[in-house]
Amino acid sequence: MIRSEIRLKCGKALKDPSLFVELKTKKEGNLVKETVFRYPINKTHDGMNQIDGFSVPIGNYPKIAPFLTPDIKSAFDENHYSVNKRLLLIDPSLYFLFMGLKTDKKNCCDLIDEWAPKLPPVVNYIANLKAPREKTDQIIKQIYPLLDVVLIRNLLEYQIKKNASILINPSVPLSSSRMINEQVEKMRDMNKNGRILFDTLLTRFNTQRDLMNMATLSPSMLTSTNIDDIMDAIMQGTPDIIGIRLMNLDEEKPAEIKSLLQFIKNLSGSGKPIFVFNVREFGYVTLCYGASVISTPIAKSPYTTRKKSDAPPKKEGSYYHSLDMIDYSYEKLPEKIREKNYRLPCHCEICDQFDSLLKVEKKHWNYFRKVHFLLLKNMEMQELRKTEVPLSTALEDKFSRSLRTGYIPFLP
Amino acid sequence: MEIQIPEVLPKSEYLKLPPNEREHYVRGILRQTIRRNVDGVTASLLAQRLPFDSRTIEKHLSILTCTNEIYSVKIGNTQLYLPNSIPMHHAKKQTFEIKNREYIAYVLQNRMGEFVFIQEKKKTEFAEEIGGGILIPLSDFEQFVNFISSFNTDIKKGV
Repeated sequence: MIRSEIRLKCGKALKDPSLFVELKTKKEGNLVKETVFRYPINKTHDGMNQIDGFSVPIGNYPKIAPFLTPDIKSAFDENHYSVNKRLLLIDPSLYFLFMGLKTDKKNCCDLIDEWAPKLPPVVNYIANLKAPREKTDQIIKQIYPLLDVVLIRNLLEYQIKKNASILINPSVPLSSSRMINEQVEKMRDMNKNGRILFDTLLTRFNTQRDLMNMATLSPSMLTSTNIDDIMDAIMQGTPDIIGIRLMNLDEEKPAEIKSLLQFIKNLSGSGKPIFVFNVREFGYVTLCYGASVISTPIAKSPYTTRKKSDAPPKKEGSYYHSLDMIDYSYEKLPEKIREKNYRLPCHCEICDQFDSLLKVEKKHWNYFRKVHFLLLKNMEMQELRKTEVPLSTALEDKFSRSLRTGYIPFLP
Repeated sequence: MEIQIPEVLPKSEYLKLPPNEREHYVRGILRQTIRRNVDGVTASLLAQRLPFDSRTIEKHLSILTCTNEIYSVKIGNTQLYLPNSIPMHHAKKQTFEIKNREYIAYVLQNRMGEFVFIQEKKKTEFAEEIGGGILIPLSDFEQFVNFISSFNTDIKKGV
């Protein structure tokens, strides 16, 4: 059920619960724009109307921006929920500088080079270090001093210029239990300074945009000794909205999941809306603990794991199964649905169009499965918004029919 | 005397800002501080509690006084600075825009009485700067309007 409506300072309103999609590449930008434009074809379907926003990493924004413009349909139909009518978040979390792919680092460095010219060479130097321990030490020693008020102000200004619906305070990720105190301290300083700059130098917008403090963290950081400090650091500068970007959530570790959910519950006690980024189906559980918005990557795992072999990654990605709520690889899916004459196990519009897996050509596979993912996530959100029972009951019911039964013990 | 101060940037950080932004920042912090202390603050107290030197504080206090955002009263040897920008009736606040400038009119009450406050805000790309402001005693406001109206008639006549 829709629990409430969050009124944002930008003038838009947001339903609780809401689902956002994370756009990281040009291809994903194009895919979303096309899907919003094309679907629903048949009015009995809903297309992507339940997906209310997009989150784009700041470094990738210039490449994705051309796809966040109104489409032709919106010229003829004012009710068409075009991409530009939805919320846009440009995420300046600087985790790309510290971890992640080289291309992400490069995109981020290219953007901030003008504002912090000393930063990119240091980032490149540290990226080439081999020992993770040394990397962390050098990040704190060499990069942290460069993340100053001038950079923070520029990152906030950039979001304003690009018309982001909510501004996100730049911050550092919490990733090392050894150096957690230093990381939390830096996060606290950046959150506090961001708010001060917003209230003194960006005065034209401090009544027109909400400011979100975002904690990018690995749940393993939420130990009993750290949790209060982290909470205090997030609340610095009295944010309007709280964001949590999850890194490396290990679903095999129930203790970590429990402390994460408790953390979200405690934060929700502040009365501020909570957005949880970088989650897939687990995100639904967080909605029961006070999160209002979850943001999901498109048809892929949110977490990067170390490769066990040198084999190149597979070109054909996985298909999200509507009932099982898990992904099946290109090779596994036919085995799974062979008995049913390869009939696609989903009633989203694109699966209805193709009907059988045999009709999906290999060259169109990735496009097909991503559109299917968006349409199916839309249906899931529609189901959660329409249900008349409490969200936890609806989810318990849904998970119990899927292969995500492992989530049930975490539901309140 | 205890005063409430807003969160401020560490000195090492605010000195990294370009000079014009530093000016805006200092003025913004002073504005916030005076607004939080409706009973007034002195320049020396501000210098004690804020990480700015007293000359900087005095310079910005005089700018804020010139734009009528704050006003000062002398009590004995003490000069108190008080906020001017608290409207009496929010509903009666009206704004009028000309290009990048916004004129805001509202009725306020301070220790000197009731006034109509007309404030000019200039809009830059990211910030709003107070261009200036005039205070007209509420009891004389009608006369002031007549004066403006007659001035307008003269302009139209080409006088």
